[in-house]
Amino acid sequence: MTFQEVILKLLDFWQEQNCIITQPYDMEVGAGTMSPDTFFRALGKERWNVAYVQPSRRPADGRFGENPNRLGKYYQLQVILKPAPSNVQDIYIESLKALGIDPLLHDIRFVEDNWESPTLGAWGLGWEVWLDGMEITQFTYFQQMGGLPVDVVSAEITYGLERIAMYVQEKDNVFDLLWNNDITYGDVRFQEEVEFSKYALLNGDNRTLRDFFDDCEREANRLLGLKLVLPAYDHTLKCSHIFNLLDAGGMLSYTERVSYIGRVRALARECARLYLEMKGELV
Amino acid sequence: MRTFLLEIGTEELPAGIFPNIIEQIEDKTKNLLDRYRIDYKDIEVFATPRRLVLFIYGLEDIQRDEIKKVKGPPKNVSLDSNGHPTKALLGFVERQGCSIEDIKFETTSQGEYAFAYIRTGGRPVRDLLGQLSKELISSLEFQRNMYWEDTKFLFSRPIRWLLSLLDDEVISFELAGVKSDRYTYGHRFLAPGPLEIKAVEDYKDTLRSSFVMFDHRERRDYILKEVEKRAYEIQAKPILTEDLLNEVTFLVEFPFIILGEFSREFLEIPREILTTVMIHHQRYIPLEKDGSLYNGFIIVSNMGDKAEENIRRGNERVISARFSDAKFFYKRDTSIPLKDRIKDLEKISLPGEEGTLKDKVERMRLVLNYLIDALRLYDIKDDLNTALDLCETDRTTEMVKEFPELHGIMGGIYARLNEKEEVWKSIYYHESENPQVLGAKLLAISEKMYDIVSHFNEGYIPSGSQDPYGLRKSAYTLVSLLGDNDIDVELGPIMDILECKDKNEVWNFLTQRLYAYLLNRGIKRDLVESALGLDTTSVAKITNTALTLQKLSIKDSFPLFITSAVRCYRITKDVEDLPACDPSYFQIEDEENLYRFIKDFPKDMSSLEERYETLLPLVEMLDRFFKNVFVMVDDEKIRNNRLSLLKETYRLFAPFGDLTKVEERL
Repeated sequence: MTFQEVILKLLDFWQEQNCIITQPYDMEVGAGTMSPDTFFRALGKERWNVAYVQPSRRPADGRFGENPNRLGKYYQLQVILKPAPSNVQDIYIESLKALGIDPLLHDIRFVEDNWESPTLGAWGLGWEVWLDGMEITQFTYFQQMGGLPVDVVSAEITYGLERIAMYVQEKDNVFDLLWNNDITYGDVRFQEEVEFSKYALLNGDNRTLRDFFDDCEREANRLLGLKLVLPAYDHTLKCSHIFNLLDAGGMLSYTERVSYIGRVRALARECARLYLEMKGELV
Repeated sequence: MRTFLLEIGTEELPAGIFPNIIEQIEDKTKNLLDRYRIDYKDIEVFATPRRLVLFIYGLEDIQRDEIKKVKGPPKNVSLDSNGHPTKALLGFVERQGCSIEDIKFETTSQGEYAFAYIRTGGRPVRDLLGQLSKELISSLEFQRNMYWEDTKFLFSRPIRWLLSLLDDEVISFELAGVKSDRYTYGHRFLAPGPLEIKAVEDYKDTLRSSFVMFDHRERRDYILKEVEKRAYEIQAKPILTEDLLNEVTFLVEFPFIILGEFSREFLEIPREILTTVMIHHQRYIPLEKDGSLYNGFIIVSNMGDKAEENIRRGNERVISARFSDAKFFYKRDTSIPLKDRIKDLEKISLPGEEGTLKDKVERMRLVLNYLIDALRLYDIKDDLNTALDLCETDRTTEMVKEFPELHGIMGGIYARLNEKEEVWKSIYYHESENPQVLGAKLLAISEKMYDIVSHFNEGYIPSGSQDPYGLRKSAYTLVSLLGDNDIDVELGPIMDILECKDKNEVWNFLTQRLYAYLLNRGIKRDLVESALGLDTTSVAKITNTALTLQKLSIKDSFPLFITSAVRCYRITKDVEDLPACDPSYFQIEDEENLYRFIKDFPKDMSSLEERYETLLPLVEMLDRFFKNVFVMVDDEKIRNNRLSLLKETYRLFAPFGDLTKVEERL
């Protein structure tokens, strides 16, 4: 099964579970959770079932294309089921079967792992899903988002697409993955990995990034004042990514790190609060 | 006599809640049964990652009676002149819902009164078990809780089914949106179910044949046996600690033991790295052959047979990828010797405090050199300072950045390439629970004093459940190192060196851990308290005093020794500013004798046991003194003189600490 077939098969599966299939959020984010399709929809009472691929950027994980397992950007497949169905684990197992993974021929286990995003003011309890010893999915029941306890609990299922594909294709180097039958992952993404690692780890400009952060933070607050919560959130995401770049480039002391995280979290909290207030659901 | 079965079916519970949760269920069930006045013979609790199981055997059908006693009207108001019940008494009987036969007259301090003996209870146990089950489940406590449905019931993980049977009858109740019934589910993949349980006695066999080894003790023993068997088949020995065994026991419902291998090329990587990756990251059981690590491992899997080939191959690929990373890190790291990394310490800031790692090292150096001077260990001073220079440099290595738990060990391993034994071993063991080398112990003491004082200075004082920097653990290790190794140094000056803002607060924090440490060494509580009363900040001194008191406490002479000492203390404790004792004011021979005893007492007696023996004659001497001498005379000069004499006597007991703590418990 090629890399793109993995994606299509999973999206097809979740479409059949009545999820809407949306597109990746068109901004730099560290995880599918940060997309408004998750962040905002996890708040509030309404039902929401969505699945989408999300390119996720983790600048600090960049390895210049030299590490066969680690990438500065990778593809998550994000699923939100809200409210969390009582048989959600079983549905997930069915999705693995759709990829040709037979649970009777593998050791599939749910191993405790609790997720937390300090920048989003969010956390949940759940598991890593292990497939024969390899982690392929993060499975989380959200408890808090944007600093607020959730009203209706969402189940978040986040697949590590490269991992799954490497397992299914029995490849030891992510760049050797077959994207389709003729083109490899490396053909598509190797240059990107090299250049973005060089940028994030070696060539970021301290002043530029810090000024950029301040500008985006200021703009986010201005937009919150205008009650334009979604544009404000966009700027919050920009702040989050800039923080990641500052961090990856080793430009922050410990205290500064804590401070920047706090600033992003404050914006995320305000966005969450305003969102619910505008929906009339703020308790 | 019936049997009750309750099965709480959940999504996978964290392995860390065991075995505590099992004890909780046992204790709380017993308390509930007692509170509900339900008699039973025995209870049994079992657990897997997906179910918590409770059996209650030998249940009576009816709740135990309870007899309540309620006071009613006085007898002279309750009965008329003919001895018949009055309206007052009848009204009381009606209000209590009992009958006239339940009334007895008893004498109290206020006279004779009517008492109603009311029998309550006798409800069928069947009617109580549902409520009891709900209370039990709601009362279970976890470190982390979550809700998942509308009622927002909190538990460790979602509850998905409840099986509740009294013999063959369902005990209905509802919790967290789940209704209890007679269905269970087997192994998630091999026998998912649902499986109907007609009667309680069918449960165990049904689960056994559904690939669920519900008895965690049996599962643990089975895993241990099978792991050992598998290892011996290839002439290897498993490296299996109790912690790892406990964890893997609660990661499976039915264990399959599978052997995997990795390339021998990875054996060139230091063993500690390989075992850390295998155990902490993958929960594998490493193997050794003839004392060295073997290129194989055991997986405790939840699936096997047809799946075994895939499982082995999959895990082998995972470990190979991780070890490749480790090998890569090791190569990169060893290309830059630790000595060349010292300058990078300036760039790393410290969590929870001001300054950099370099600042920390320099402050540790002040403490280390103080220790070296105090203990006169000048011949290892240079080596220890070298070890100190290097002990934090491993934090700049790829390996420790990837595996932070290897800090210290990696430092030692990398130092081993260039440094002498005293140096690298000091680094290697300085973060260990049990440092093997004196240098490591001194480094550890320096570091822990630094950690505690600097965090306290920044205001990070542990309280309740908040101890993000693990200071309690650091303090306990510090105390253990000083006490176990008889490292006799005053900590007060070290706090000064570290510019401690509140020495009392830090010392109190340390004494709490010291208290626990001494109790753990088997010393009786009152003796610990006595030793803690010493005027010293040397943990070793306090420890040795406590140990000696423990030895002395079994002597026949001990109780009188204590009471004599405390008698001196009590009579003088509230008196201040006494003039020095003047023998010219003595009137009675016993004053003279006591005075001479004090003056003749050897000034430097370092052995507490010797001191004890030398002080023993005081027991009789003081006994005679108190019989013949009236201390609290009106004449102020004489009175003060006698008090002064007794105060000086009590000072002879000072090296034993605060003996009033011992006297309390005699």
